[in-house]
Amino acid sequence: MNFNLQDALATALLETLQMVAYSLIMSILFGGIIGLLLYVTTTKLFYKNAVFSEVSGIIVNILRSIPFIILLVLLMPITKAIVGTNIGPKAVVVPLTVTAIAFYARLSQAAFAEVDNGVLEAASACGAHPIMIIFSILLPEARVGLINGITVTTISLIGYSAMAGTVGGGGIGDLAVRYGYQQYETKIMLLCVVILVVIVQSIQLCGDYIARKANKRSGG
Amino acid sequence: MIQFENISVSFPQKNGELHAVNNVTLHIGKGQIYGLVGASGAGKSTLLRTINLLEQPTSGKVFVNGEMINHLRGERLRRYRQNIGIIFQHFNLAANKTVRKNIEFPLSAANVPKGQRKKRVDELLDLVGLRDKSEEYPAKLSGGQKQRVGIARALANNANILLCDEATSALDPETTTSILKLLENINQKYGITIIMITHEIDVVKMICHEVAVMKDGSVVEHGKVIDVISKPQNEFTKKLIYNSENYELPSDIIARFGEKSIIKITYLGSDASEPILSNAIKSNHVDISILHGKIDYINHIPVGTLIVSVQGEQRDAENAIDYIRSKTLRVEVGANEF
Repeated sequence: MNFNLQDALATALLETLQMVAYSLIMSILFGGIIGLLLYVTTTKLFYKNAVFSEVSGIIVNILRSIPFIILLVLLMPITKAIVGTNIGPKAVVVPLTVTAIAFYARLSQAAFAEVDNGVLEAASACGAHPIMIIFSILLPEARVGLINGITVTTISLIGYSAMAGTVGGGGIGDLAVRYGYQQYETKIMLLCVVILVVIVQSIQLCGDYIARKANKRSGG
Repeated sequence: MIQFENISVSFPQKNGELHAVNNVTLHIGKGQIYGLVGASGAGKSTLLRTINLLEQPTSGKVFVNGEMINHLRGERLRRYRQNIGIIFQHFNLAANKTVRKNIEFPLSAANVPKGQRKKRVDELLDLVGLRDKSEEYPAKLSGGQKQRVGIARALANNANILLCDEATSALDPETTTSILKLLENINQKYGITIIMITHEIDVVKMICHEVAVMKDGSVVEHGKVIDVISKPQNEFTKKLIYNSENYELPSDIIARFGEKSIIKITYLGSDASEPILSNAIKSNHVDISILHGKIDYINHIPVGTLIVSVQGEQRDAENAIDYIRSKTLRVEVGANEF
């Protein structure tokens, strides 16, 4: 073995963390906003607008149907324009974010749609402004669904980030493919897989814990 | 106070339109507890919701305090809604807010300054008897307590109208009574006009002053509760009332006395001072057996129901029944009739 496994793992972990963290923050922010827009434009209590919700729904669906590896290549010019390069962890963040935004938009839309319509109607009947209803009723009531959505998105991002190797993005997944799989270092591959399993498992546990704490519905 | 003028509400359906409310004209006076009864799907909830425009009338006009409200939109509609409280069958509380925060919400919506909000919430908590539950989440409360929070929230901005959309239908009888008492108390104390939707005639009997009976989107009968309950004119109203009373006698009793000899007498508490039955027996040579009897309180007025069998010569029996009819509110002849 002509490379230091520990160093390689540390670097790979850091790269994965960076890629996932950046794209996660962006996707929660923009995906959440798009999800909210998709929701409020389909609801009479807020700002029903069939044209807007149909068109944006189609765009989100298109983004979600393109396989990530294709999107990675497809978005190269845009990536270059935004981060100045086509390769490396930074470059992967752009397609990762685009995919995750579309993903989280749908998840958050579903979380908003699950909020009891009667509660929103009661708030509306109090004479509250729709913006106030969104911030002080809709968002808090949807928070368990939103948190669960973040957990699922984070885990999906870790999966997608493994394809970052294609554009020299690095990360744990890339390490597993290049050193483990392609160079027949089964041990390294297994080690990487175990690390990924542990990371994913911890994220799921954390997410579930936070969601449980945030849920006042069951009296917790 | 509230005036419906030719209100119709219809919803577009796959095949044509659904007419939920059909040309309703109705007046609800200030400070009343007004009942809207009818089977489910009669349109009573839709009609109620035109008052705060949760439902927009397809045609007709709604006047509240002399002002036509149909065309209110945006800020004016929100300002208007702050004066109209509503409580729901399933309470509709925000599950992720404490009792205090739920009650505070309409105050924030009306831009009440923070300092005043706390004081007002405390007053409301005292009014509904939940001072010790202020920091609980709704999940920890019983149905009755949740509805009390709903009432406090509805009244937060000193509403002068309270709409109750099947507010007691999800509650057990005991809790229903306590919630109704609270509503009656609020009505008397603050003079708030209360409009109650219910399918339970007992709720109407207990606290309503006036009632409108709805069927298939139309009002088929309305008036003072005591009049509508004791002398229903419309067939549907009669059915609604009789279903809730259930005076069905055992068949062997009916066979023994004869179906035609059994009569149901409805009388007001004030009729009870005269010895009506005794007089009927003495002057007509009949025997009267009492089969069933009870006293209802309709809006605190005692109304008695007595089922008796009048035995004797046909002519004497008819005279006796005519005499009783002249002295009481209503007499129905024949066990199968009631």
